[in-house]
Amino acid sequence: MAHKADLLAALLRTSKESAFYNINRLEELQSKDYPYATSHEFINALIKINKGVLTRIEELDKSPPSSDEDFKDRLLETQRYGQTLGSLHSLLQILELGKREYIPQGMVDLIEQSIISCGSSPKILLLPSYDYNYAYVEVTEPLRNSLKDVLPNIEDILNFAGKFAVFWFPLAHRDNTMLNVLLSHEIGHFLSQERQIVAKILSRLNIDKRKIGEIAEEWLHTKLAAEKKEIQLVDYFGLETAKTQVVRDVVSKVSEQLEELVSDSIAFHLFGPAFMIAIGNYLATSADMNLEPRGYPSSRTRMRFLIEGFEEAKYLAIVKAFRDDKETIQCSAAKTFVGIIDTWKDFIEKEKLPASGKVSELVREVIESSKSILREEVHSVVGAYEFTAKRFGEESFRLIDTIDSFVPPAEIEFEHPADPIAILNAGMLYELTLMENMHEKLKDKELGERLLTIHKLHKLIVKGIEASQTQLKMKNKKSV
Amino acid sequence: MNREETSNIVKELSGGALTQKEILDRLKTMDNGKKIFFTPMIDSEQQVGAAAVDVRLGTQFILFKRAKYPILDVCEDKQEDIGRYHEKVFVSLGEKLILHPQQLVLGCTLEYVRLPNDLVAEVMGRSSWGRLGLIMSAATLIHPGYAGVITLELANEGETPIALYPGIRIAQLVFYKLLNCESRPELSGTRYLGSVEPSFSRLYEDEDLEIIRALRER
Repeated sequence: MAHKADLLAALLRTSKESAFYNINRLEELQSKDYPYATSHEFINALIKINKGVLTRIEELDKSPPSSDEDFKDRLLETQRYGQTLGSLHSLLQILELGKREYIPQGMVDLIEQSIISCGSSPKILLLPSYDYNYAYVEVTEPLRNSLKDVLPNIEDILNFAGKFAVFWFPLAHRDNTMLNVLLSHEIGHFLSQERQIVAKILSRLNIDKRKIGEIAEEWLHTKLAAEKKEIQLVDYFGLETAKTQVVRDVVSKVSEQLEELVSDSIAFHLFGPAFMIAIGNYLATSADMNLEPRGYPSSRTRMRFLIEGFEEAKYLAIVKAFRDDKETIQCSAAKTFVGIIDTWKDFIEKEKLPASGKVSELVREVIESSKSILREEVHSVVGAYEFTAKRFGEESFRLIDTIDSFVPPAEIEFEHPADPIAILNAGMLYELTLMENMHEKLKDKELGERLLTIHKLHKLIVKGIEASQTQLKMKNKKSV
Repeated sequence: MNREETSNIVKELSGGALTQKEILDRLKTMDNGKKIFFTPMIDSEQQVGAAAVDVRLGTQFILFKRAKYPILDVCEDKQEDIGRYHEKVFVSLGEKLILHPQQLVLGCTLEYVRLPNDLVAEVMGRSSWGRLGLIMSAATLIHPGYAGVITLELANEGETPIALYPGIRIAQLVFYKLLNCESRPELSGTRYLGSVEPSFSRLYEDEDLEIIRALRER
């Protein structure tokens, strides 16, 4: 028993060291500069959690094990704490990467305001990721679940945040304002999951029972043929089971794809065409548009849904009106913009998605039939806060004049701050349709010069957003 | 160039400082050839004075790492080494930066300014700040056609630390009309064109330094 006590003491010491070093690093991080107060609240919470786990480990080490049974129990508990400490260590990356220098300042308020405007008030962190991807993770719920048996006061420790949403963006793209518009898709995930939009859509959808029956029967025939059996009446129960399985499979795939389409739709409603263009650029340069990666609809389907939404929201009609206003940069921007949208439509409509299995066909059919319900449900969440075609025409098209003067488009008129989303859309419009104007003015010849000018444009847009928000905050305070 | 020299050059070149009415006209005009772009303008009644516009402190700063390096030597250091001497700091609206006695920081205006080709501007510290010990350590001449935020060299010459808040009115711009305005490209190329944050010195790019270095090698 003495050696067992020694071994247990050694293992417990390792776990205690692990907690100690987690706490040490967290205390060092307290002095770092973060754009959100949440980061410091989270550091304090994690210090309390690590100290709580350390206390529990220390309790295990107070006396030597009294029996073999006691030794085994303590060993199991030590392992459990070890795993918990490992997970707590992984959470440090949220704080290591969340420092001010890594975060695009202009997007911080914008993301927060977009979520608040839809009636939610989570704690938010924006974080860079080494993956070339945008993502959303809710942090506190998994922490609560995994620690509720270890720390009875976990609710108190985490009460600084009801929900705690972490949004990730690709590290190198910190200043790529137009690509970082894709964070709005992650806002879409947050709102979709919080409001259970997919479940609401699913409850209103009808899945063709005849097709389910056909798929189940075919699946059963294939299965029985492989087993060299014939389908008989006794297989009725097998057929019903198969149907249930097919329904489950279809519903699962439909809900995964709907989650993406709903998030796209929320992003489009909140951020307008800037999102549609950004996601189009991202998808078309990342992978084959026809592929249906696991859990996702094809990129082609996503773009088709967005462009249909764009037309339904009357954007095209607004943009086309600018084409008549000859000899203005608005006319030139409108012509190119309409041309690019038409080319996207052509690209999406002409080439059909490759044939795939019957389940995939049925999933596509269900997804197609969900369009109007999806838009209704998204509208009920985004509602009055959506960016409209009218605003795109009245503000974004006007702000491109300011950008063309190499000035941040912060004000819609003298002393009046522009809408930050209108600024983003003006940036998108300018980069997409008028960038050559800027290159010409700056006499850019080399590739490096041209890319630097694009980088400067992105910075002008972020400056515009920051300046308009500052102006609005200061004016509001003054009027109070 | 010191403040007196700059002022003399400005006076020689200019047809006098713009008045309040002239400044407001230039701020509001739709004629881009004459327009002073100044954004964001938070309160023109408060900011536009008799012959100057107040500018506010921005949110970004450059601090010098005083303890780490013994000397800044523009002849010996390379351009890429500059980053080692300073760190960038962001201070949000509502937060503050403490400027200690004898400390120099580079800040910038909240406003992005673009001048037309017929105007130059001079940045001057506000005397209210000067009386607390805050000095704009060098007069800055803003060239015609310049576009960007204006880097401010802020030094505390007093004996007590000073809290600096982004958004506060920190300095003023006086505009002078050029008597003989040359025809220039719409966006004149300067080293700092399009800056949206304080810029570190680019003295290292001076061609004269090559000559000095060559002389040293002899």
